Amino acid sequence: MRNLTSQVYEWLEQGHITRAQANELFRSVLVSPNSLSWQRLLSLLLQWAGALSLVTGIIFFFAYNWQSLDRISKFALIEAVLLISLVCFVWLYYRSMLRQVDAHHHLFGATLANVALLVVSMLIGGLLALVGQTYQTGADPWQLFALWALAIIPLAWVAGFDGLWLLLLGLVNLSLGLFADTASYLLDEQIWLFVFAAINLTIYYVFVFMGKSQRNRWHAPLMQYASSLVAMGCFTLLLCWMIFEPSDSKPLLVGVWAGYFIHLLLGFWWFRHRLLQIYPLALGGFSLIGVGAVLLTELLFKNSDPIGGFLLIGLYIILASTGLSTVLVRLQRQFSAEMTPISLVGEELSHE
Amino acid sequence: MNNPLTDSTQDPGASAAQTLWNSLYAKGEVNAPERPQSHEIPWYIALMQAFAAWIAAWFLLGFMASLFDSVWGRFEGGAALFIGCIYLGLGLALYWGGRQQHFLQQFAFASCLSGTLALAWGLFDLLGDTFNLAWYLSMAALFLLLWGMIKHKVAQWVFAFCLLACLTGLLAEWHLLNLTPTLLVSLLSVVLLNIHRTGYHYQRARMLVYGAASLLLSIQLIHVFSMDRIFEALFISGWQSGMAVSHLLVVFTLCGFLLVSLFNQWQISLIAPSGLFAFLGLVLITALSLPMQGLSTAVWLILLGHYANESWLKGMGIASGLVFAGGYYYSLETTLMLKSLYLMGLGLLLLAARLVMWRYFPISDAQAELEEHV
Repeated sequence: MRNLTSQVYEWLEQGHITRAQANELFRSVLVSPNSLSWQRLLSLLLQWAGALSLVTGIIFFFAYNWQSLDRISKFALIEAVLLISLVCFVWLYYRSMLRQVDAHHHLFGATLANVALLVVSMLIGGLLALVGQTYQTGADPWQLFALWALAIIPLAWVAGFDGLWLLLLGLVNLSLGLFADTASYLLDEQIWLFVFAAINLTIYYVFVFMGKSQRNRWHAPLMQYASSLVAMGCFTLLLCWMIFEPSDSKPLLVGVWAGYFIHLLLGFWWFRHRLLQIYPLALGGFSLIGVGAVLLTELLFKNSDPIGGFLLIGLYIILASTGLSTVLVRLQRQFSAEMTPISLVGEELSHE
Repeated sequence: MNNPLTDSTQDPGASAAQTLWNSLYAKGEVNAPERPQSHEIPWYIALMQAFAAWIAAWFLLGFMASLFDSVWGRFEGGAALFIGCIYLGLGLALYWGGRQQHFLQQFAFASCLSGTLALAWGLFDLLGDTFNLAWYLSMAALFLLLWGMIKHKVAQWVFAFCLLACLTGLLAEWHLLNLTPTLLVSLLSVVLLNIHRTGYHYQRARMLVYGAASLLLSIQLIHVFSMDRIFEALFISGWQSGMAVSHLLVVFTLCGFLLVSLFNQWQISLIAPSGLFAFLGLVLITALSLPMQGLSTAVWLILLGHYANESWLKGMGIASGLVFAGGYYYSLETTLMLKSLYLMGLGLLLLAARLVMWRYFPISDAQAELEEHV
């Protein structure tokens, strides 16, 4: 939510209210939260900090590889904690069901039951690491993270919680990065970057299409935010790299450029006319400005060193970013007007 | 915090603003029945725009540097100072002349950034290729001027951050680098707790708070992850351990002050079970901050952010709390085994405290409903 005091300040700046009125309004708007709000904050802090401290403590314990504790005891210990956490999740989940607590009222799905599920997900990683440590399986680290990611997919789906989806996204990218490191001979570096962009884009679109409704397990705004940022970051970096060092493989070169522009065009149409979202449009637009600036740099400075080239590129960046921001702000107002309360109510009813 | 994926269509803040405007109109304090249109842009667009301006600033600087180089065949400190003054003058003139226009504002911001970069370069060159007292003083004065004069929100944040970074440099010159976290915490607390008195300077003060919070977290992250050589490279004196206690005491005092004022506001005795419970928690966090450096700062940012309804500040506190706790893994002060035992003990203690809250201070549905209506 936008800070209400910022709105008051804007009215003061625009001359609608006086300084004395503004100060009075600041005082009335800046009322500190009530005791209930503090109690909720403390409960959240205690449960999340407690669970995360406990689980990281357990993982540190196994990372220490205490020799005095035999193999069976180590497995028994981690499996017992895992089982207790799972039982806690089931109990808390059904308790909230009985009390008819709606998980979607919690910010990013951070319910009490999901705390237990996050602990379970992290302990699964610890258990897999313990298996590797104990039996010296010889597996590469990327396999551990890939297996871990696979194992927590059902848990993330059950939880419908952004934190778990983000953990999954992190594990997928980590295992892919480690795999690319060990198997770098398999593919060219530019292709690896393309693979990163493609996988993150796929994940992003899965969540966009599956999680359209806010009352859906796939509705994970933070996950969408992170995966689209990583995907467009990789795509932009790849394009910039290809401008300075074009790939020897023609199909790859054409494929990446074509894929980038087709994706931008389709994305623009979809988010502009169907989903009415500004963030993906902003991401695509600023990526295009970046690619344009790099292209200009290559064209202007490849064979010569024109003094005005710097000024031209600087002005292009300023002009393009301003133009894009203006269009985006206008679109945002338009989307707000198009999304009338009636359509919002209709959307809610259609999900009942 | 705004959700960038949905805020284009639903803005709960807008309805609150509309209600406030309606109440002002009903009291006759404003003339127009319709709420004026907001010129605020979403944070992610502002961030991307600022990044674009930063890149553009380097190109603008490159243009002038190459121009001077081609005309005079060399580019030295004096020329950099001259370019800096030109760009700063241009930027400020554009800010004053046409700040309502997006393009001019963006150009002015890029120009000011370019100007400060050139001035910093020129001064560094003229003052003997070193970051010394005179350099920090000059740059601090420049950033203070820019922060005080410009009305552009992002520019205020950037220049507030730079101003405080230069003040950190000054403290380092006086061998008081370790006082920085304490001073930053005190500054941001005092400003935020008095922000309702700032009137026309509200946004400037708010950006100072965020500048201080960003610098505070950057400094502590560098320290927590044992990258103190960065301090040694930047500043004349390095980080010395031992001064952390004074920082903890200040954070403890500030948290205590907040606690007392909240309990007074709710008219609850401090020796009531909830008061003792809160006090014990405060002592525990302070004690834990000795091995887990930065934890008390993170908790303070969360509490202060909640108190002042600043969700970004709260978010910064939560994120930094996680990072500080993660940084504990790399702490060389104790073994991994002991760290694991501390963490498990702490986890169990916090969960037990949660259970105590559940048992003795439950949030009943009726209470929630009543307070929400109030």
